[in-house]
Amino acid sequence: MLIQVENLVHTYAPGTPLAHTALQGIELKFDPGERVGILGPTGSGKSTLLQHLAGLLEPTGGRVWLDGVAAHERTPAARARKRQVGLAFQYPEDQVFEQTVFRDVAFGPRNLGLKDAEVAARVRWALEMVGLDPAAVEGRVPFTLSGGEMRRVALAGILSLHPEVLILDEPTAGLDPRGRRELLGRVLAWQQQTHMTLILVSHALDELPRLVERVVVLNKGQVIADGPVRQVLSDGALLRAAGLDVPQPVALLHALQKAGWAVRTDRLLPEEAAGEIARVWEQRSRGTRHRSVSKVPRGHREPEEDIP
Amino acid sequence: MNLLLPGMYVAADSTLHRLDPRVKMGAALLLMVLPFAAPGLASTLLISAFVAAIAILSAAPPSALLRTLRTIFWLGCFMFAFRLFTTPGQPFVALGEVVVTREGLLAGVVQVYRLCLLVIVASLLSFTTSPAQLAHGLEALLEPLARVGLPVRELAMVLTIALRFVPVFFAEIEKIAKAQQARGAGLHARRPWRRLRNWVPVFVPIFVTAFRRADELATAMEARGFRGARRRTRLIELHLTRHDLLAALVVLAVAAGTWTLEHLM
Amino acid sequence: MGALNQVFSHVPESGLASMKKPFIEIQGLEHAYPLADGGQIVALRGVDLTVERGEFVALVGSNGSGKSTLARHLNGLLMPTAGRVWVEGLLTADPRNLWAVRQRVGMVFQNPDNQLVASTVEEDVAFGPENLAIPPGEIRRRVDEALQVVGLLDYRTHPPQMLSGGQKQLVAIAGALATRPACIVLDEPTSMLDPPGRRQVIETIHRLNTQEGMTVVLITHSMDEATVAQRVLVMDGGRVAMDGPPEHVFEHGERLRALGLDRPPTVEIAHRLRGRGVPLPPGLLTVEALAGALC
Repeated sequence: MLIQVENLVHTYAPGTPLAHTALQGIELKFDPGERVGILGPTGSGKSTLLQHLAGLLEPTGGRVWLDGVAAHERTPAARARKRQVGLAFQYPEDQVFEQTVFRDVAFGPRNLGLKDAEVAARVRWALEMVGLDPAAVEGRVPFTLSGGEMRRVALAGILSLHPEVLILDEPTAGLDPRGRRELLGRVLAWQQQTHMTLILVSHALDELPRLVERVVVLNKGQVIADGPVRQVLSDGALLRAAGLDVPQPVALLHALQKAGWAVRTDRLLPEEAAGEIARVWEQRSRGTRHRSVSKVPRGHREPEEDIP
Repeated sequence: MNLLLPGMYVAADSTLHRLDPRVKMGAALLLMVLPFAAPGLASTLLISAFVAAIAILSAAPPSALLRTLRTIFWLGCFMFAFRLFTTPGQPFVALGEVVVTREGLLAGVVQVYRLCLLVIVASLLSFTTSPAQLAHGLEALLEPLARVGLPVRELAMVLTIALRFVPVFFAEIEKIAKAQQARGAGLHARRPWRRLRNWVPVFVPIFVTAFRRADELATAMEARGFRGARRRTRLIELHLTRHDLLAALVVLAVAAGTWTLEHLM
Repeated sequence: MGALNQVFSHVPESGLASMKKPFIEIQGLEHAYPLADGGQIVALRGVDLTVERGEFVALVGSNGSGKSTLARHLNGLLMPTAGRVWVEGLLTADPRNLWAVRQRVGMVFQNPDNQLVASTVEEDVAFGPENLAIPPGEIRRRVDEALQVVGLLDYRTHPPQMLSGGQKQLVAIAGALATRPACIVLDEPTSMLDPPGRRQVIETIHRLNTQEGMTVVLITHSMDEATVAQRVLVMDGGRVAMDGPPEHVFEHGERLRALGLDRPPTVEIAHRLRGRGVPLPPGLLTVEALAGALC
């Protein structure tokens, strides 16, 4: 599905003294199968934008086009498109409500009007995708599961819609490092398996480079950056101006660059940054020695982390 | 009723804002009952003038006050119609069996007017008194009952905590509603029964998280040394000032004046 | 030994004892949670630990390691299934000590909203002193003092819903400070906050430790935050697996990963650089430190 955001404006409580314009003319395009990260400080309009992409809000100005159909309309065509967009809010486990895991994951597909056999197949598939054993967990009461398991059930409930577009708002919020790694690994696997468009809001700067190819930065209701992940996340000045954290590897590389080192600053992951720094360090120490023999052992390869 | 919704408070520094909530609540009660207890024209005019004066002192924008009347639109129509069709007197218009009298027309208008006064007084109270102050005032007024054994302080604490969480619950309802809508929950269904059913996926999670919240809150309260509402002191204690006593006297004077007008005219 | 006793015999026991004793002392602590079906989950399997006055300890571990359970023993919210916990010489298991313990150890929890009980900031901060039946004038002083320390004095009359997550946690910290505890325990205070909020909270508690001498126990699963502490305790399966200054604990990258934890990117980079033969001193925990060492 092709998503086009055309000059999108959204004002909450228009005409009252509490009016607040959360989005001030956003222009964006999401191609099918893209993996995009969205960054922005609190109050930048991220949540509002995500809700528009899912067709949950009516624009004050501009439009969101899902495959050429205006998202906010209440026509069958718009509804059909909206069903293809799966949106997981922060702490999605808060929305679990059914008496059994099966029924909760089946909620979405049932609302799509699918037949029982199809619903059951989707539920099973979705539970496996989140790493839960359908047989073991289907009949259980969701509230007896652990927080992490409940989150997986909630995400399964969205995957079961077989969305063409999956929007995740801080999916790793509140998880420990192991939980974060595991979940993001799964998210990547889902995308690779289904080729869905992945739109991810996350503060996990050390994980983003592994997951997305492109990053959009929002601040105060406007898009202030939109480009390849390496380019955007290595722009320390831009990130700082938006009140965002700069990835530690990037901050380090910038500091060295300022001190005169010829390092590339777009090495976002620790292993890459270490490799880059080591490379330049070796160059520099070779340069200060008068020997012409290289100290780098033969057969040594630069470690390069392959970013998908 | 929507009259005393927590969201109606507007922080400001008017004369009314600075009065003790107990005085305001007592005065509000009196002024709400008065138009119905003293129905004469002179009394009503006196009360109206006084309410107008209070409205000015409250710094509430008139448009906001008048907007609160929207909440009683249907009730007002009903009362008007009731008076219109049931008051005996000189027939004005006849619609078959039903007779509309001149007196009925007048009675209807007057009744609706009194209702409007009531709503405006209640709104003035809400605009100028924060829910927390109302809770403090209520607790202070009911304090004597605590000596008789009623759990006044505990109930006041329950009320304060409930008020504190109202906005939290509203925000959560919005979030869950949107989440379930995104899964196709059909929350805007037309038929009332269907609509109620479709909102179950919103209310169940709210209910469940409410219990979890209560549990976490109780733990936090325990960690901060809470062992019951009995032996506690308070940061904010209500003290009656000269202004409060003056205000109380003025209100009582208006009430006395109304009574006088009512019974001597 | 006898001579020493003679020399110090005139010093009142409690005074000398509290000088010698650590602020928190834990011996053989075990904790099992009962399950509905009659079984149990063992959260702590024998913890021995002391925390001195003025220490800043980071307690890290993945979910289920027992760190939150351990935290709740420090102020008597939980009672040991076996073993003992002393706070400033007071045994937490003795019911008579409970409120004294809670006055000495303040606690801040994970969810910013589920700790605030009042409709305004100052009334919430007053909650603790109110529970201690402190006179209103003194409560007012303490509330203003606590809000000053966390930098929210101007927000005194604000309702909680007008505050950001980070500010709400600062209010919770002020609320804990208002009872003048010697120690403050924070259970994952930043895990529900955005980066600016996290920074606000960590800076504040760092300041409380360095400037006010407060004993701080910070439970977190972010090693980045643990960097700020003087001592890092790593929990695993209900036991203390590692205990030392951050730079020592971070040496063991493999072990940390196996325990479900990671190292701050800077530490990771420094480690790899050393592996490539770059001569770097140990203990480089921040970007500034590493950049400085390289240049």
